[in-house]
Order: sequence, then C-alpha cells, then structure tokens
Amino acid sequence: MLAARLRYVLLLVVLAGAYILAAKIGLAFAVINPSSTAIWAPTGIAIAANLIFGYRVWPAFLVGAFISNVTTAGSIGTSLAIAAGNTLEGFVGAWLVNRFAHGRRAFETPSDVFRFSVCAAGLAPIVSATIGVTSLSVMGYSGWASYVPVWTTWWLGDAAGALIAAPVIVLWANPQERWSRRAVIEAVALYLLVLVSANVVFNTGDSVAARHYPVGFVIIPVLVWAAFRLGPRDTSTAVGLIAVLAIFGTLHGLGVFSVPDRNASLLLLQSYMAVLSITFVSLAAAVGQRNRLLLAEQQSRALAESAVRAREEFLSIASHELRTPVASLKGSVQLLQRRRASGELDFARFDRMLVIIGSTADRLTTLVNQLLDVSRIQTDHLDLSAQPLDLSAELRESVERARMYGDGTHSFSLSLNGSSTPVLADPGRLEQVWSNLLDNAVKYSPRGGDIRVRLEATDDDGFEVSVSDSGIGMPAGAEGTIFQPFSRATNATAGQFAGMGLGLYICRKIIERHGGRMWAKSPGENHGTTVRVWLPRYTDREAEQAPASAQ
Amino acid sequence: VINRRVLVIDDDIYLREVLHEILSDDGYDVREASDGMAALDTLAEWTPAVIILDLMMPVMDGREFRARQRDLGRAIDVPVIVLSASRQIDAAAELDAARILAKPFEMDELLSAVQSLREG
Repeated sequence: MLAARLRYVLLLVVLAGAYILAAKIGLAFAVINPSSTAIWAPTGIAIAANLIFGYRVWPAFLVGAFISNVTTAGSIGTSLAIAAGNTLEGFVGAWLVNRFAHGRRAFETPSDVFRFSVCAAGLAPIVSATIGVTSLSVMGYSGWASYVPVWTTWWLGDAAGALIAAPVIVLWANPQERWSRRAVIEAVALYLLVLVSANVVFNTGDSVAARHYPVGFVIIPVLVWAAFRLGPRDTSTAVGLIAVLAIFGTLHGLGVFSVPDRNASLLLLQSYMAVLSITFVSLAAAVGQRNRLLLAEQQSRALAESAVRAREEFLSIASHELRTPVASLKGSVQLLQRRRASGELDFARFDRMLVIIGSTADRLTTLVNQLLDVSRIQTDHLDLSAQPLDLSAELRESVERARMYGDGTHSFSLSLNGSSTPVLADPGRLEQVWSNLLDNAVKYSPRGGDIRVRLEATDDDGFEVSVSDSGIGMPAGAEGTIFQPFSRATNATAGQFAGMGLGLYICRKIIERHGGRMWAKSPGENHGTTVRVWLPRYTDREAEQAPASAQ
Repeated sequence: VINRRVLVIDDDIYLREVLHEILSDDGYDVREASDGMAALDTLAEWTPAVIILDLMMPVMDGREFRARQRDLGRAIDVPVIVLSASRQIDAAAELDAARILAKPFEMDELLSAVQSLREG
C-alpha cells in the first residue's frame, strides 16, 4: 500500500521533471513570444503519460507547467492559468485518443493514426491555446491585437509537439517484441542514416541549402525505409530525431528552412515535421497492419491444413482398423466353406473358426462404438444424462463385473474410503470408463496379476479413483500421449496387444465432460501403471440446479 | 525344388491365422510375422516365393519394411502382395508391389495372386 503510494509520487516527480526539462528546452527556442514555441514537446509528453499511466498523473503536469512558466515569464496568476490549460490539454487529448483511436494502440492502423492526429494534435491544443493566450491577454502580458497570431502559434506548437513526441513515448512504453540481431543492426543503420541525412538537410549553411534546392526530400526515402522495415516505433523516433536536428539547425540560420523571416522559417519547419510525422507513422501503421494480417492468414491456413491432415489420418487409420477384421471374417467364412466342400472340416478347426468369428465381431462392435464416440466428442455431441450417483456403489459393481467376465486369473482388490461418495454423473458413461480402465489393467498385465482399485475423498471437494496394475507399465513420456486419439504407448503397440488407441482418449473426454480430470503415471516399463480419475463431489447446493445443468 | 514358401506380415493375429490356414490348405509353406521388424528377422534365414504385406503395423510398418529391405538387400527380388485399406492404394503403389489387394479381399483373389506370382 505504502509502496504503491511511494511509486505514484515518484512517478509524478519524474513526469514533472521531464515536463519541465522539455519545456525549458522548448522555451529556449521561443522567438515570437517567450511563451510559445515551434514544437512544444511537453504537450506530447502530457498526452502520452495520460495514455500510458492513466489520468491520475495530472498533478505532475499542473506542477511541471506552473514551475516552467513562472520561472520564464508572466505572473503567478498567468502561470497558474497556463498550467491549468496545459494539464487539461493532456487529459482531453488522452481522453479523446482513448475514446476514438484505441488509446495506446493508436499507431497500429492508418485510420487510428489519423484519429490520433485529429484528437491529440487538432483538438486538444485548442484547450491550452485558448486558456493560455486569453489569460496572457487579460493580464496584459500580450496585446489583444496579437491574440490570433499568438493563439495560432501556440496551437501549432502544441499540435506539432503532440504529433512528434507522443507517438515516440507511447510506442517505446508499449510492450516490445524481442530484438533479433538483424533488427538491431538494421535499426542502428537506420538511425545513422537519419543523423547523416538530417544533418545534410538542416545543418549545412553552404550553397546547397542557401540556394533553396529541395533537399528536404532526402529525408523521405530514409523514412520510407523506417516505415516499411522497422515499424511505427522506429519511424516516429526517426521523425523525432529529425525534428530535434531541424529545430537546432533552423534556429542557427542553417539548413533548408532558414529563410530571412524567422517566423516564416519556423512555420515552414513546423508544417514539414507535422507532415512527415502523420505521413510516415500512418504508412508504418499500414505496413504493420498488413504484416499482421498476412501472419494471421498464414497461421489460420496452417491450422486448417493440419486439421485436414489429422482428418485424413483419422479416416486412414479408421478405415484400416475396420477393414482388417472384416477381412478376417470373410477369410474365416471362406475357409469354412472350402473345408466343408472338400470334406476336411473337423470339429476342432470348426470351433477355432467360430472363436475367431465371434471375437472379431466383438472387436468390430467395440471399434464402431468407439468411432461413434470420437465423432460425438469431435462434434461436441457427447451428451450426458447425469443423475446423482453413489460413486462407491458404481465402482463396486464395475469391479464385480470385471471379475466375473475376466479370464479368472487376475485378482481384483477394491478399497473404498469415505462414507458418503455422491457424484453427479451419467451411469452408463461412468461404467464405460471404469470397464475400459479395468480392461486395460487386465490386458497389459501378466496372467495372475493384481489389479487394485482405490477410492478416496480429496481435499478439493472431490473423489479420486485410482486403478493400478502390475503390468508392462509405460516408457517415460507416454503419460501425456496415451490420451491422444490413435495413440498408444510404444511398448503397448509392440505385438500382442490389440487396440486402436481410442479408449483412453474417449475416457478422458467423458471424465472432463463430468467436470473431472484423468491422468496416468507409471514408474517405468514393466513396473505397472496407475490411472487416476478425479470427480467433483455432488452437493445439495447443486441439487436445485441439477436438472438444468445435468443435460 | 519348387519354392512354395509364403511369408504373411500383418499385425492382426486372427487374419494371420486365417491366411495361414487357407494357404496351408493349398499346400503352401507359411510363416507369419506380426510386423516389419519380425519379418526382416525371418527373411534373414528363410527366403519365400511370395510376401504378403500389411501396411499399417506397429513397430515397423509396411513402408519402412520395404525401405529397410532395400537397404539390407534382403529378399528384394521376392514379389510382394500389399494388403491395404482402400485409402492407402496410392501409398501402396509407391512400394513397388507386384499386386495390391484392398481389405477386405476375396480369398480366391489372394490365392490366384500368390499362384501366379510364384510361377512368374
């Protein structure tokens, strides 16, 4: 709490300091009226800070503007009035940009750059210029006759400051992408070129500039490069650097804008810088927008393509898995017919063929049911008819069934902890999960193996069911992949274990549909596997809403 | 000596058993392999007249089996009948198969394919 307040005060001090510094530098360049200057960067700082930190930063600018004015010219009264106007300008500018130009993200599309220009540079300075010039005139520091030219100069200076300084500050304060080596090299090269070309244009007093050749155009390809290759942040920074060099050179009577009339020369400079800023920051925004759209398009295409591939893969595996048992069925039937025709059919072989036909038909049934379940899951049609159930009773029944239908060699142990174990679940689906887990435990453990089922209440208001076997276990890393469709642990696919790899995928989806979780662990190959299921406890509070939420 | 050996490579235990019986009835000497790896082991010591190959198998599938066979130079001249689900016909064509049978196939089809390849 105290730390937050301290941070806030510190932020205000830093912002006020930055404002005063920028104001002092700006005022040093004021020529027509000591209170108005060509590019009034403090306006940009105030609007940017309001955008970045929120409107709570206003005291920094009230204090900063007051101090920088009262130490320059005018009375305490005019300084207070000007400070109030400048503070309000920052707030109004930021509010308009937040309202109409996506706030801090105003430099991502050309239309937002345009809206930003209108709000921050066009409208907000009206507040400051009107309050400032009126108070100067009322107090007699400026004649009413010169009201319009002074107001215009004030407005233009603030507008240029907002256009040039605010984007630089906001864009450097926004979250940055990581710098790649190439980007750093390119940025350094850009800024070197900016310095060199701006120096040629604005700091040469020799024949080139004096003859008014249009060397101002030299800047344009440099900014085109910045806009296309480096984006809005570096483009606005380059414009800012050019502005600093241009003001410096022009005030020293150097460069293309040094015409005999100093007022005209600052006006030329102002409009030139404003045009550069709006043009190239919006160009950079347009390029950035285009790149983002291209990237999004590429990503969505890649996603669509991988979905198509996954679907092809699914159909291919499903087709193979369905056709192979049908081939066995046809083969068995044709074998029986041939033997019958040749009179070689003995009962032993006949029985063996019947076993093959029977278990193949069972397998086909399972496969078809699983494929239907997968299709329901993938089209979001895995509907449950949930009802309050006693989880202990359900488990006991499932284990009993596994014991009854098993090959009789595996031993099952069931430990139930917790007196009351209510869950809200679809009994058929839940039984499907338990029987699948128990089948797996039997399938992947040796004859005579132990299968342990435990039920425990957990701290997070639910129940954990674990099914452990002493079987082949899983290699490291298989814990996650076995829940993906058509995926089985590598040692499970090695030969003797039949299956398509859909069972656990379906089970987990069923459990998740019940608001639960499912995961597996194995200490390693041949050290058994434990599959755990967590289900939420069913409480009376839910009972009232149950009929609606159960569907 | 006429070579009447047939190697059946398929991960489905029942289909292997049925094919084994049917081919044995026609007087063939049949061996089974549950995947490509096991088949390569068999081929190291036992050269059949015809190989019947499934494509989709765990451990080593049909495609990899064919590639490894070429690398090892193991029984590469033995004609191969590829058993495939219909969606894999294109894949099967790349494997230099002498015949491609889509599952489920007729036993007579398979037997006549084996017969003609063994003689050719």
